[in-house]
Amino acid sequence: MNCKIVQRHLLAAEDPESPPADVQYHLAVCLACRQWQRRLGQIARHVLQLPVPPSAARADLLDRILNPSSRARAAAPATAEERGWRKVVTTLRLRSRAGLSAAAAAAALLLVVLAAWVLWGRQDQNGPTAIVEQPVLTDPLVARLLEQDVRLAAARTPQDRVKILADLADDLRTETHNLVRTADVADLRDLAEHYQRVVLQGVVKRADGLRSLPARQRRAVLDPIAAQLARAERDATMLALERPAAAKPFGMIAKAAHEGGNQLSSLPRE
Amino acid sequence: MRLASFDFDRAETDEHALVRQAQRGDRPAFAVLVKQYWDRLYRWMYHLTHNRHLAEDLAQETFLKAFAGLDSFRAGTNFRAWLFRIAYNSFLNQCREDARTRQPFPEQLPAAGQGPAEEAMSREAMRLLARTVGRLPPDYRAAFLLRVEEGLSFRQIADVLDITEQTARWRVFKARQKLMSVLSPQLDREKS
Repeated sequence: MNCKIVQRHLLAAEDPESPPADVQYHLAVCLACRQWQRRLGQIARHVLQLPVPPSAARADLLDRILNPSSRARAAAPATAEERGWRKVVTTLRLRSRAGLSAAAAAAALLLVVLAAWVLWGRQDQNGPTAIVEQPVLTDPLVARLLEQDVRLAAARTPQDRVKILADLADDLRTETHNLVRTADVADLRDLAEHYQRVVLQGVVKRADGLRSLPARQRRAVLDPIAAQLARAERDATMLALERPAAAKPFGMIAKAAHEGGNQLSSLPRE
Repeated sequence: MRLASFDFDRAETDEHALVRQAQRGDRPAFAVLVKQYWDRLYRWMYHLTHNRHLAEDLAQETFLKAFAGLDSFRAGTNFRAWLFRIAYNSFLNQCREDARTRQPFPEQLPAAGQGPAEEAMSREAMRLLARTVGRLPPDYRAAFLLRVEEGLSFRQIADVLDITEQTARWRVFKARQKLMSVLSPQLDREKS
């Protein structure tokens, strides 16, 4: 067993101070590895000394728990709004791995509704449809998706719909970026697939319906979206390079943004 | 019941019994659990967020969620793992809401020279340690701190973070590797 292997064993050990026998044998004869082990332990012990500012919040919390009458909020039942979407999302999160799949699942649910609208339904209704009063949402992604859903339902013109779908795509892309450090690759891939669908089956398809518009109006709508897609492609490509573990989802986003941009630029300019 | 009049040193200190009592609605029993776990949970949250107020909010939210959800806690299982898991989920939710988790590092650092001479780290090394721990990816940092500060096994870390034991081991491995790569040269310089 060489020093490199021994050091990897120590890094992976539950307790590097008490490694397995074969590692201990090496340590007994290798001064460098003993010093390396000592340093590892030294660092861990000093983590315990890292300062944390004092907190007075415990007393407040205890007061809330012990004197519920003075603090009605302690363990108070959720409000009607909280029992709505928040309960669904929170419950799903607590059940889901790292709490992230559920948000994607909730997003997926909304996207199914959106997709139905985008692809098959309510093609060119005039005027907004009735909007049901929405509950307060605490999950930012789901809240934004629902907001976009409501905006889509209320959109009066084809160009408004294209813009809203582009915003929706950008929300999904931003969310994927935000989650790069905490989410599983599977979750990131889910979000990337949603992004792909919204760009290629939503934005591009709807943009094609703008051919009848005067060129200037069409460009006013599509040029900013093309720029947005170019930025998305560049950012996603960089992230795919920087984070090999997440290369696939970001590659999907980059590819969708690239294809979307190409298809928008293939529309007649004049 | 006033806080000042509450006897925290009550004879009943067995955790399982306290949880059972709290599940029956015994608020003082739950208060004892808060007292036992507040400092550790708050410290973990502070290291994850680098924000005192946010750490306090998350710790309070965790205990209130735990109190409200005590019915779902299975008696006899690990209360600490359950509590820390609620806290971690709250932290993840917070991460999604904003980018406040990257705060400046505290300037208040322990004086150099604490502990045995061979063990002591300089103020500079401590600052570097704080910065490096703070810059670990949150999931690595969470697992590493549970191992170092809470002394949890990889199995218990896996339970808290809802990951596999192998993933827990991997995250601790990567955190240690990063800390060694950054801190070792500094410690070597100080030694020479």
